[in-house]
Amino acid sequence: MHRLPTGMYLPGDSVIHRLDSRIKLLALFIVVVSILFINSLIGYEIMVVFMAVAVFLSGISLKVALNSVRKLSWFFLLIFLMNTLFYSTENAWFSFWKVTPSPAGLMQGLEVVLRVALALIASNIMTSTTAPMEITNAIESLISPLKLIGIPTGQIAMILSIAIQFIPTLSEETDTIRKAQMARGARFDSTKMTEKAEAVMPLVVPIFLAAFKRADELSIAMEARGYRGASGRTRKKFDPLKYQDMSALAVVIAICAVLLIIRLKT
Amino acid sequence: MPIEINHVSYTYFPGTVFEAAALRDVSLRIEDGEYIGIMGQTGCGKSTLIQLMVGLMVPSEGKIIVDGKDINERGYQREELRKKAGIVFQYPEVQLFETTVEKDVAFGLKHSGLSKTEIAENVRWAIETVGLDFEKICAESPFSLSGGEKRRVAIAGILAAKPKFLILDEPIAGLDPKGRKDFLKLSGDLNADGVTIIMVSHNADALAEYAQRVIILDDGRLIMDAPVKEAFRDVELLRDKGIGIGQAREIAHLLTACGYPVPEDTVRYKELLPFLIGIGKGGD
Amino acid sequence: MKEMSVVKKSIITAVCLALCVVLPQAFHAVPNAGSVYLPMHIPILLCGLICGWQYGLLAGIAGPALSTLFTGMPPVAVLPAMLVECAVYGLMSGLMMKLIRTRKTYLDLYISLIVAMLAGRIVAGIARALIFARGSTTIATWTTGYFVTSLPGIIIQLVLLPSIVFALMNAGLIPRRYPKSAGLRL
Repeated sequence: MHRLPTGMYLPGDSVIHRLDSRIKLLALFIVVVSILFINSLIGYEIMVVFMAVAVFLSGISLKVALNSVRKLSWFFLLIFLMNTLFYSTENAWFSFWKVTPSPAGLMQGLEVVLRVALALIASNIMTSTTAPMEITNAIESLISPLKLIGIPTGQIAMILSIAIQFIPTLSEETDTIRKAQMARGARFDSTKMTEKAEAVMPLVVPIFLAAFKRADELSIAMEARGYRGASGRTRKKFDPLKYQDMSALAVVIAICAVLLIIRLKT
Repeated sequence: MPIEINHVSYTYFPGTVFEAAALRDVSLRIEDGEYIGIMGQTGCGKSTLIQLMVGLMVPSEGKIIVDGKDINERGYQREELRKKAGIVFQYPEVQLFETTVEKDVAFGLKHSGLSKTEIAENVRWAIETVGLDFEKICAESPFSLSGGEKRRVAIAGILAAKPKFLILDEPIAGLDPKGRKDFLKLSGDLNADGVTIIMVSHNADALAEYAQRVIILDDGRLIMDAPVKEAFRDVELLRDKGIGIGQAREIAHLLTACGYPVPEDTVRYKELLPFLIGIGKGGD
Repeated sequence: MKEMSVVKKSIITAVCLALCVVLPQAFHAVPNAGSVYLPMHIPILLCGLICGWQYGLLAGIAGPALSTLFTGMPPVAVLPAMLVECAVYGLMSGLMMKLIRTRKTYLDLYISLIVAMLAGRIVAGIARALIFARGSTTIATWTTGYFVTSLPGIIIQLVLLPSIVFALMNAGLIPRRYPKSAGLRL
């Protein structure tokens, strides 16, 4: 991989790095849901300022934080254009077949782009300040109440943590396979419908074979060590929440409550 | 088809936290028909170098010139390079994907412009060259083969295109001794037929046996580009850089240290043997 | 090889989840990858087909979530609908494989896949209309392109997935659905 994967964990010692990962996960969820509710200028302003502060507190440079947004710029452009051109027919500047660019469409386009960008930055703050294992521990902790209705949370958490650990390995393997096939003369770009599936087989089949081979090896290793299932598995013991965690959560809830009120009033 | 690497540098993830220089100002030239070995510790830049050579990556600085043309220049047809160069990655069997061995080996020739008969001929030749029985194996599923067979099929897939130069990245990793012997002999035979061989390997004995020249990389820099005997002469330097010098050279070096007059340019078993026999007989 | 153990199925699910994140990135080299090949759906459908509906369901929910978390795609705004769609994929492909036994593996696969893919799109469409009605117009304008190219995607998946399953069976990495036993024909 030549491009740095966005949202990768960057070790650090900032305020946000030190927060309890469960709080961060909860906060992320609350923030993202509220972002989807904003529909007023002042609401967006509040959220943008909040995000800017959060980025500052996380110790991540602004450049890195905006990097992921920049990477999706083609997607944002597409959404923006589609909304501008197709969203509404009122006050259209001109009309051509189904294409009706309108101010309402423009606004809608901007809003959607802004929402996704904000959510992306929020989720990046989370993944950059929290090690993947911490994220899985937090998920396991937060879903553990579901055990009461028979959902195997321990097993789910195990699957998630193994999945996360496999991501870099499989990513590299995939890269090698892609390069090897390209060096062999594979061409993944073909326009004929019937050839599209064929074109991509040299990439897809080996990737799955390699991935499943690893799965096979790991499961044999685990069973050989007496692993029978996730019940009784040692879970991470979280330190009790500190006042920083509680106050951070309180701040997030407060801001989102404010946004909700603004939303309800408009 | 000489390959020229002119002052090439490569940096991963430039401008980010993970910035890492893989190659620093490396220059070398490989002539037609040579057999070159590339050695170096893990992380020295070997893999990066070979990928740059076949155009899978673009250098951060410098030029890669094949047959007089800069392969990264605008307008250069990559197809040209694909036809001339073959690269066998480590554990090449991962590239297998087709339903039969024959189809998989023929895969690389799909866009080569050859006729169906020519492709079939090349495929048969390639499969037989790697030591497999064409009739027995051509209709088998590649996935039902043994590990050693899979590797041979994978290599056949690259050979079928009859590349003029062949890059091999640790090709004998994970093979049993017979497999290793067979493979090295194959590389020697191909070289005798005029194919330029560039082999990345930790196995100094293998390189001493077959390579004419050895290139050693250390932390992205070229620290040795010399004929085999000269490259392995300075045992201390190589050890210092973490390069395995091979058993033949090691034994020769130890014997010299013990006072036996074994020449410094002894790198192969065959060269060492007379001295061992002589010593064994009680003489010098 | 007989029935796979819980451990093996769990790890296969984990691998499929990882591929939900990795595969779309790999397809960056392919033009039009996202909308035509729908690379994220492949591991989810596969998980359901091979491991069963519970694992498929988990893959369908956690897969897109992990992908959004680690790569930003699919974008958060689209995630809820995507979760529903993929959850149904994983669930239905697993269920159908359990219910349908035609004695021919490829037939089982085709039927299960078609049912799963249609069901997933239908349920997601309903969910979008009713629950995710907020901003559904914007999502709809974006997904118009999605539905138009949907049919080719279905056909491609129908070609890819059975090939993957057979390759895995031939490699001995997953058990054969109908073992070629020399004696008894049950």
